Amino acid sequence: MFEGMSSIEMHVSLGLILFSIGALGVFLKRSTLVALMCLELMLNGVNLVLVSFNRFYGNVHGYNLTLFVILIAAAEAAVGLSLVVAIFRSRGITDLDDLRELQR
Amino acid sequence: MTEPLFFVSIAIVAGLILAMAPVMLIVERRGSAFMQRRVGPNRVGPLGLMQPMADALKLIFKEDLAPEGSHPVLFPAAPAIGVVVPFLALAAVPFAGTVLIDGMELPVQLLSINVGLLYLLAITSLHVFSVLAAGYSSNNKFSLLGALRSSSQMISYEIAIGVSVVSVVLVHGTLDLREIVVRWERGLSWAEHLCLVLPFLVIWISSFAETNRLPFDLPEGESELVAGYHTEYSGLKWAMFFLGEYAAMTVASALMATLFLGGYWIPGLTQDSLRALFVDMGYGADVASYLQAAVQLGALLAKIGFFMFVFVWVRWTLPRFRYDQLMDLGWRVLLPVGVANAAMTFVVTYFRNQGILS
Amino acid sequence: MNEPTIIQWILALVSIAAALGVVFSSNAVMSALLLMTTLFVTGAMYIGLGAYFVGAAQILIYAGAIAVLFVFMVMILDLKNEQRIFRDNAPRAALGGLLVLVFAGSILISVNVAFRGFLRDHIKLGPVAAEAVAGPREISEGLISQFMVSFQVSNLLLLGAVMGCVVLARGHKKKELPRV
Repeated sequence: MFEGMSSIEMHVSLGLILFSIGALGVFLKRSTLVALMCLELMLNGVNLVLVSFNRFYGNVHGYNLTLFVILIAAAEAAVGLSLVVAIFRSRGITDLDDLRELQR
Repeated sequence: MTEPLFFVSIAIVAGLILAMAPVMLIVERRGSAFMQRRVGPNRVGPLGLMQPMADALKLIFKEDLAPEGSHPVLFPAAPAIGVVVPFLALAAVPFAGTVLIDGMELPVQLLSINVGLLYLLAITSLHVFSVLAAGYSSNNKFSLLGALRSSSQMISYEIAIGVSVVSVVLVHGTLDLREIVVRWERGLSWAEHLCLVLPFLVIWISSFAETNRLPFDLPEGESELVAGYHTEYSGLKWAMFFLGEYAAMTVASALMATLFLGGYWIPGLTQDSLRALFVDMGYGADVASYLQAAVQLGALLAKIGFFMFVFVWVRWTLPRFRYDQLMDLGWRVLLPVGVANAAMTFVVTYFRNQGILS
Repeated sequence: MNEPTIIQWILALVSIAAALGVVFSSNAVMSALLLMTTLFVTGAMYIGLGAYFVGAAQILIYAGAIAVLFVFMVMILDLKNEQRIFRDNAPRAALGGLLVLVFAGSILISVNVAFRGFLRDHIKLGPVAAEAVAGPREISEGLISQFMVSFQVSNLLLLGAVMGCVVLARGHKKKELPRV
């Protein structure tokens, strides 16, 4: 599997692996904050795929899309973290298992 | 990696940082003593010049403590990050023009990328992690407080630097540090000089805040927080923090020297005229280019040395800012000034591109 | 075509190790710092791939700002070391893990097959986007011409995010009744 692997294939696979590790973290982690961190990992994996594919084009559309993803990830991280702070302030906990008002 | 200049560039970067610590130690202690009308260390060696060696020996032989409850990985890692980050940052700085080797013109720069300025800003923004890791892993409330203060100060002034860099990039038209020096060689118009004055001041002041030097060293304020985030460090680990602080000052000085004073450019001499000077003296073309690079490196080192001296000078001249004054200055003075200057630079750049205002 | 160099393999392994550390660490600060490591190493990979601007932007924004924000939050919220780091619901966890593994595994296999199969000639042509093509000038030209709408919308998004953060972080002040 590893012989003759081109660099782009390695980076695409790596992006996918980082994405899935992040996805596992989002599913399984108890702490909201760490789940948000794993969300950033997922976005990072997608960015890696975008950048590594863009090497084989003569234009920079992949890099532009990557910049947009980074931008939006920054905005989302900021708002998500303020949400976590607000929840912590009103409830005192950030355990995803204990925050179940929306569940039946 | 196969470039012949690779190891020379690494040697320059490493030598610069590793040599800066002992030199600055002498300058700081004897210079501050001179400013305070006392003598300073003059026992070890002639004029006290062997003092750094004595200090280094002492620090090496000190007991290497780690406080109880400190994090086993983060506690040693924090000073390591603090030293590695300035090394990485100095990689993008052009140390001299090009050198002629085997008929090829090779730039004396470890990392010749076309976004050197952005890379340098990005790497200096990582210095915050050294501070945070040190403060958190020390298992000491005062260290944590000092670390949080210091890191929030650093990220606030990073923004002021970023906005001022926008003006600089507009004036020079490029993010490449080598191209910026080439533009300084070519000369700038009076309007462009005007647009660079305020960014120079803003970046200079922000460099003091970025490196936690007085007047912004509340995180290390002795009367308040013992020694801030590096309270619990002793011996060689503290020496690493010390080295890292001077290395960060070197990076800030190199950045300011390259952006605002022209880097390795000597006013009045271009690379070709300098090389011709050495060829006239009878050296071959290759050796003339080496000598030319050495002279240009000397010019850059002189400018860096000037900024480092001002760092020391200001430390012993101005009193410390209070924390709210500090944050006030960063967010409510330097940031608006940077934005206003960027607006002015937009206008000047527009007219320059139209051909008016030369 | 060009094989990944040894440095690229090492960076890949480091990023995977750091990502696993983010998920499996019991200390939230360690997770945040390992997140910074992953993001930094990915930025290094971008620079190694020739995407200098995107790599510098990744290190500046992701590793230098977002990760710092995460570390601040962890320290402010003062989360203790957790004994249980995963959620309680075991069937849900098993299903989630299985889904992720199936998803990732299937895409990995298809990537492998594609790159040995119909993409082999495409990648034999070699990388095109290099320094000359992918400088900041070209990227910004794309931003203001083809991606102008996305650019403006994301600016509005950032503005909205800033306002939202200020509102959320300010907290809820109880209104004082006027004294009569």
